[in-house]
Amino acid sequence: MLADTAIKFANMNKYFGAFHVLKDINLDVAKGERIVVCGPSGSGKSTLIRCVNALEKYQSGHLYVDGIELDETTSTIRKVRNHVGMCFQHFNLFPHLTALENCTLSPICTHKIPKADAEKQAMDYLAKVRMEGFAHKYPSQLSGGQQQRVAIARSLCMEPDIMLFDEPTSALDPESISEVLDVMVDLAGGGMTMMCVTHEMGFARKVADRVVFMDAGEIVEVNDPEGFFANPQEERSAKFLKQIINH
Amino acid sequence: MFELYFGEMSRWNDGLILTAVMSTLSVVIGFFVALPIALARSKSKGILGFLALGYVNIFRGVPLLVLMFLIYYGSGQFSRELRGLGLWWFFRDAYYCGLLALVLNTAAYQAEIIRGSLDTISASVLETNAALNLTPWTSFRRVLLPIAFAKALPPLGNEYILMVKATSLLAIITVFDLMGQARMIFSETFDLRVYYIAAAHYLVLVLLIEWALRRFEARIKWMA
Repeated sequence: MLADTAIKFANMNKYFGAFHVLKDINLDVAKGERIVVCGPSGSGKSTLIRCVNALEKYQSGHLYVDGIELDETTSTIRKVRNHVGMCFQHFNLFPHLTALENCTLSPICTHKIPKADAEKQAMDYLAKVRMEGFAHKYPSQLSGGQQQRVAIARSLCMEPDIMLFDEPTSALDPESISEVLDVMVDLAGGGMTMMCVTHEMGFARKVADRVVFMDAGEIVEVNDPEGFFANPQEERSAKFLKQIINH
Repeated sequence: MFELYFGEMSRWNDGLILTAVMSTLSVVIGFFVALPIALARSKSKGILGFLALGYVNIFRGVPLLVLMFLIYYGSGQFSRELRGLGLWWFFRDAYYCGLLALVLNTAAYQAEIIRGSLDTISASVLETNAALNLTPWTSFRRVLLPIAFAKALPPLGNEYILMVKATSLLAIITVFDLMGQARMIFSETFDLRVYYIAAAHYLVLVLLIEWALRRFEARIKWMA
């Protein structure tokens, strides 16, 4: 396995009971590469990235994250999760903690970083997502876009090598979408490995190195964004693109 | 009626303080007893969950007065053994026995309240804890418990108020709480109006607690 591979899926299969969700997934993600995963709902794209930080188990094949093969042991899972940050569709900030406390909880409690250092680091990342003025607000006092930016800062505070985004803008209003995407574009410029499930095709065009199109649990097409949008290689991708662009 | 109150004011005050102390102590101690039981009820499907369910069923099923009699009068039968264990100082005292019965009883109810609110915490919170690589202990202490506590606050307040009134049973095992003092004063005056005064004391105490709880709930600003 190449040293510069961040994530490697090899013949990976996943089932929910009898339902075959992910079928023979093969994909290499290089370090620093930015992947956008798209596809119709139910195609398995969220499940795919949730396997990377072991929120979902897979049943056969192999999955390597930062050179570590994911198995079901707690120690491996904890090791892998130290390398992987994740942002959710509904932000999932802790309602009882301020923005700053959301950011410092894991560094202080999991990584045993002294409180003062953790707070300084968190303020740096909150500044990076342009939320430093809201450090002492509770999530209920923030808009959706602001909450998602805090959630991004919270993940960055774990200093991950890989960031996963599971439809980070699909619960937001149009204005908030652009403020979150701006932050993600900044982040992409910084050389972070990113896997992002999104329907924001403008974002995909701007930052993705490759677009992965999935349908019915299979990777149908992997292409660079220009090629994917201008000249999709597969009939199913073409049909999907037509549907999302047609209105 | 006034002379029944002002003439016996120090006894009424003693009773009021004892009732407030016994109910508050039993609810607070009961809360900490309830926590591990609630956790076992919520998370364990094995022997721990079964034991926790057994605890809840027994202490919700036995009337508080029966429990007080069993502990206070029942322990007398085992006075020799309890002396041997060095526990007799506890079981010979009606106040301690009464408190124990109250704690055992309220812990069963509080465990069910806390279990209920732990169970309503959505799976996405657990996923977030996993994604942030929180240890199980941090996850419970810093995330699940505060959220569950905030959700449980109204029913826990309800339980507190129920306990204030339940303490009146202590009078039957010779404790001089509000009801105990009322019975004492009645035995000297044979004036049934003492029970109006006792009732007014309970009412005032409950209204005070209700007011304090309302202020406390308002302070949890993140619940908005």
